[in-house]
Amino acid sequence: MTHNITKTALFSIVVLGTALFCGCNRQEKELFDMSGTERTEAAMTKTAEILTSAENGWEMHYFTNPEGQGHVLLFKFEKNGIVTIAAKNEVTSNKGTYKSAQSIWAMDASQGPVLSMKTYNDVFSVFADPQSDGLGYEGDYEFIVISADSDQIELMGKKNRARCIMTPVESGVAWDTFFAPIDRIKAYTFSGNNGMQFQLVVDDKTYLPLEYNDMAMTETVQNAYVFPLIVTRTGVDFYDRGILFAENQYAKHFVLNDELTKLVCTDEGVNAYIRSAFTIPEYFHFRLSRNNEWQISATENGSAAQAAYNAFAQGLKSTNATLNYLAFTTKADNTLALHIRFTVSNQRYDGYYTLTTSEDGNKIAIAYSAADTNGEAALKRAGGNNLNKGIALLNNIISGTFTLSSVSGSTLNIQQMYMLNESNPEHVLKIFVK
Amino acid sequence: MKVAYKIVASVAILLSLVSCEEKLDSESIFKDTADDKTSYTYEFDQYLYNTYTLGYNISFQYKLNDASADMDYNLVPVSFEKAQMVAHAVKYLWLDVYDKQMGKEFLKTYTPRIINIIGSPAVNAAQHTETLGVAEGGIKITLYKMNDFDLNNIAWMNKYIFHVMHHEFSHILHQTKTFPKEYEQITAGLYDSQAWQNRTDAEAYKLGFVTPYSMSEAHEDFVEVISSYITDTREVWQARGFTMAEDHTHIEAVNLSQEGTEIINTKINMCKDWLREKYNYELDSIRAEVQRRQDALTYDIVMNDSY
Repeated sequence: MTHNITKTALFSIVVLGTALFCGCNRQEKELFDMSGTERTEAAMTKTAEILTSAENGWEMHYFTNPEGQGHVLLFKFEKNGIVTIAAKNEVTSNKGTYKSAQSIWAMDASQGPVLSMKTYNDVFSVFADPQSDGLGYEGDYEFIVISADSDQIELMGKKNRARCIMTPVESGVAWDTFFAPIDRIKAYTFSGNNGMQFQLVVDDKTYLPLEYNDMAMTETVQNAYVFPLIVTRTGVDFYDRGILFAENQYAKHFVLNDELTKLVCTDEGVNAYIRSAFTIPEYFHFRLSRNNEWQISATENGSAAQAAYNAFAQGLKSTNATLNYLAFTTKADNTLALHIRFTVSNQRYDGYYTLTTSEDGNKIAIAYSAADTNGEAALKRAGGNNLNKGIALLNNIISGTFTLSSVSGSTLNIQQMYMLNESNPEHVLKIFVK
Repeated sequence: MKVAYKIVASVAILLSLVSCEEKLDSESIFKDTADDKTSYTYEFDQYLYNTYTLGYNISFQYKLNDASADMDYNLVPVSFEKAQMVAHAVKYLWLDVYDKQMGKEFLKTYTPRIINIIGSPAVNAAQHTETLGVAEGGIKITLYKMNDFDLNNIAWMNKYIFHVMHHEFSHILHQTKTFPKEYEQITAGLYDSQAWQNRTDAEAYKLGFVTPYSMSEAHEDFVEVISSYITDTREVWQARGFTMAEDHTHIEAVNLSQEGTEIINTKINMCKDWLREKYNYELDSIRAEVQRRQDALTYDIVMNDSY
């Protein structure tokens, strides 16, 4: 009896067990109306339609990789498989000129739609080119489509995983002039501005010190976070969620204000802006304190200042000396001085002039006071062996009350400055960090 | 009763298997751009389909996707213009050569099924080395740096395309029929798979190898001899310190002090004999045809398939 019960039980287990494997019955209701491949095909078709429907193409904010620089690119996708890509920057054109090129694009499938740049594009492919180090800019040629509608497409590089956004270019906007506002913003903010110190100010409190280098800001408290950025037509966007300024708090989108004094965050609920860590006079002295000099331009001064500079240089030349440059510097006691470098018979000489100065905000009053040996020798030569005449020629350049302002016109990019002589609007010296 | 148990259990198992059957549509849902007449690349894609796919059972791939590329490298695609040049050049200096000398079936049978061309080099970022080409199991050949393709530069084409292709094709041939064991004895003891890259060209020649890479292993040596013999011009052989005989059947030393000549000739002769015996393949005829075509090459001849 026991034996029969065991056999019956075993038989029941076998039959029930095998019956349970019938779970993959085709009659089971599908979770989706279409199969996975059909859904992928539909998504590819829809994305292709969206891509080709933008009449004036798409603006892409392209970060080559999560640590990489951001670049604005324009794309126009055609139904016949041609894509035209345009850019205006130093990566795609060594002179930073506008450039466009055509190549082939397609939609591929890979667990979802993938936008694929199928053939080499003279503008775009440079970002993925391995170059001699095997890395290059570490960009991609294939992009997973994260989301797509007629207002915005979000992509992610398939290999290097950087997210980038495409938005339609307004109709009527000419592509070749599209980049002009970006160039302006770059000039106001970051052109030639590597190493510049900024501050993120949140809720009107100075929050985070930042240093700009190569299209990225690094917070300088711990030097642990680098925030890649892209210059847009209105300001600056930071990669991904933006600058992390407090736990789970980010600032991503910024626009340059009309006064050209700060980049103001436009993110909802974030009251923040980025400003230079220095005022203009502070920066003038900061560079001097770092053993830099402010060199006077030899050719780009206002007409009166340029005439004075030329007269001084000509005076030296008439005695077979060449003026190499004049630069504001500091003496050992941190007082302002003027450095002259000149050459006679291939021999280089450096001389220094003591200055009398006084400052009031952006204004600085300067007058010649005394010269060291080499400085005096230069003055004599400039004055045709007449020291006083030489001093007068020098005073014509550097004496007066000057107002400091930035060449860029903004207070964010102050690597080059103008010194405007109050007594003569044509007497403007252009100075830059040497 | 036991029989009844067995019958019921068997039926249950069979039913469970039947219920898992699923019919798959044999047609791919993804459109092939070769069929899309509105595509900008339609004409070229048709050329590839008719010439390579229908003609030789080869898929010539120039539109880059990660499935066909090595994701370890940063790569860029080949330009459409260069892709067309490469396709026509491979037809001119590869397909048509074998077609004429060996007949279509030979290539159809033995050629790699996929030729994949990539625009950039494959640069190993850690080691700073560059791969010229890769063959995967006799199925696929990947050629890099094709954006630098220059139809007027035979040496470049041989280095980056045809030497690689003859090399890999020869691997397929010796892997298909028994490799001549006696070949391994010619320079036995000189192969070094670890340190061959430390050898200079001149050292390799002296020891009886046509390239330093030949010293890595006997099979590599075998295919390097064949590919060098076919593709290299008289000038290339002279640069090695040898000269190709007037009748193009063997090499000679430029001067008596040139060592290695005899060994290389022994290897060449063994390759010739083996290819003739196994495939009725005349190495001298292939070389002569390649050299004729290299001499006659012009842009118009290649791009119009008009040789």
